[in-house]
Amino acid sequence: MIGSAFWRTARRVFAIAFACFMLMPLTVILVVSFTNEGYVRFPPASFGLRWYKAALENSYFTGGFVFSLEVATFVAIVSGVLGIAAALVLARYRFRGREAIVSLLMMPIALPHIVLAIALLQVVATISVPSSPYGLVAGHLLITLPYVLRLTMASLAGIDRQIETASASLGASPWQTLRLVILPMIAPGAVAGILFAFLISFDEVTISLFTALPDRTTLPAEIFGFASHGSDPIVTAVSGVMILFAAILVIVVERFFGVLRLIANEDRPIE
Amino acid sequence: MNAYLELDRVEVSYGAVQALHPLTLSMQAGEFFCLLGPSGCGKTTTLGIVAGFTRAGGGRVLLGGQDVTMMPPQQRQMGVVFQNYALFPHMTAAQNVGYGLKLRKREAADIERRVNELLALVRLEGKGDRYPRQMSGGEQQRVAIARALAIEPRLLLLDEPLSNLDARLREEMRNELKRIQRTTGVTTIFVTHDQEEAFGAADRIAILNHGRLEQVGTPTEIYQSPRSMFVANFIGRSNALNGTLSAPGVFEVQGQRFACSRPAAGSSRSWVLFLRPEELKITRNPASTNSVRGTVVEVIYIGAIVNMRVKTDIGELLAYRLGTGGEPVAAGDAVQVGWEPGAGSLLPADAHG
Repeated sequence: MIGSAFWRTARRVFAIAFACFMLMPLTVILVVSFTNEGYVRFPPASFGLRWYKAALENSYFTGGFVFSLEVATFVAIVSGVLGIAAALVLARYRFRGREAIVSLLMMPIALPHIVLAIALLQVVATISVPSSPYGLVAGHLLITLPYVLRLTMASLAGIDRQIETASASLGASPWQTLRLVILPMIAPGAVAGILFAFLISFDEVTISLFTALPDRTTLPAEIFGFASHGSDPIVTAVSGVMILFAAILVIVVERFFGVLRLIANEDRPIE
Repeated sequence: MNAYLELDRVEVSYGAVQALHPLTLSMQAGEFFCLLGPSGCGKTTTLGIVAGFTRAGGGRVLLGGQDVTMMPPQQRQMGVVFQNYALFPHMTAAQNVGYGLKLRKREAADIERRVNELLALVRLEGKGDRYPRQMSGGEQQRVAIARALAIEPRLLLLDEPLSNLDARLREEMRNELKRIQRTTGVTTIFVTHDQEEAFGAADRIAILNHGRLEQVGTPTEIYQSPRSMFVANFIGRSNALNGTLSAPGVFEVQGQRFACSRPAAGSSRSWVLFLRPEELKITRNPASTNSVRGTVVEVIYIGAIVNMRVKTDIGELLAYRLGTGGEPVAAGDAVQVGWEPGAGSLLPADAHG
């Protein structure tokens, strides 16, 4: 028999190795972004904030960042509203074609983004006004909606129907039950879904490239454009900003979300 | 005295399945009423009809003289305690209790006072700021009761409220329920499959089976005079003797004749005499009008009572005797099993159930 001490050590080694594997590329980019040289090399020969300054003065990147924020915020809100509404109906009612609708809404997760992007390009080119971001937003909604839908449906599945019955017996209208009982109970799942939607939209490259407007495009698409022309360290600085931004968002929401989960998601009694 | 709640030929069917055959029942104000029966007997369906969760396929529900058959549950003002409590997990105990009052737009100070009053009634003083997950099963149960009572319900409906509690707690909560019901005077319907709970709590019991009402009565009436085969078999233990009424006052079992002064309601070829184990006397010599010879098969001393199984010519009989006094009896002894002509219940053998 191999002792439990061995397995404890093995587990720890695996955990550390896995964390390194996940964090290595991010660390390399972050370190490189602080280079003071005019080329990308790891480790950098000298350190400085030169490229961060350059990135902040570059209107392509600042414009792209603002545009990405706008798109991601809009996409997160819209996919939140649509996803929660769809989940309420799909999780609550059994009707013909329900399974088909769920599969259809979940499908964009499985489809390669490039396929969606090409299809969208065709559609947008045929019907849309070229200077509006409808194609981009529609494409992002397609890929973010499944996350909100799936996470909200999972939360709803955990709610005992008798809780709604209890609410009604105490005098609540269906609308009051939704507002005072169901929405607070599914909030952790729905918030997680909306956060995913925001991050996915903020990070998305393929659809953004294909449906980009002539004058405005998202930050990841700008980075892609820059990176494909040469290895200017400015892209590492922009990447550093994006990493920092995503990390702050995840930490903030985890704080908020962690508290919510504590209140709403664990209703097992302590015996 | 007019009935407070009346069910008038209420019925429910799900497709081809008749969940509830036309049921007529009435309850007095302040009564602690119990619906008792095995699972699938229609007791929860009946509760659902009263609460408004289940749509009646026919018949009427009258509450205080008002027809509420079509009224949605949120307007009925009925306090319901569910089997799994159905507390709102994202609200504290106090918020759960105050929910119905908040919906009624009561003032905050008013709600707080009432919530504290109710928490005191269910003995949860000072625990109002706990979340359900921080409470034991028994405490959650108390919150559920307080929440149901907060809206000053016209009826308190309890759906198997004790079945998720362990045995010791169950008896304690049953007594609590009785105390709370007496304190508040609220008319209460209690649904259970456990006859001990029903007998321990209720003023009157309705026994349901396969969606039909078998009998309504006080616990004593139901135990002493079951009116159907189902009730006689379902409630308590009985010795069922199959026989015929060969002459007035004579009950014949497998050729043996016994005096029987129980009224035989209706006409039937064959009858069943249900004798409670405590109605049988075990003696060395014939001591009653009716007696059969037998051999003791087994004696089980439970404490308060002694269970005895005796093999006789008319089948094996179960008899109870108090644990103290009486001649000592052991397995293998030859004894006489006797009973009074007025003992037991006589029911036609072809009665349903």
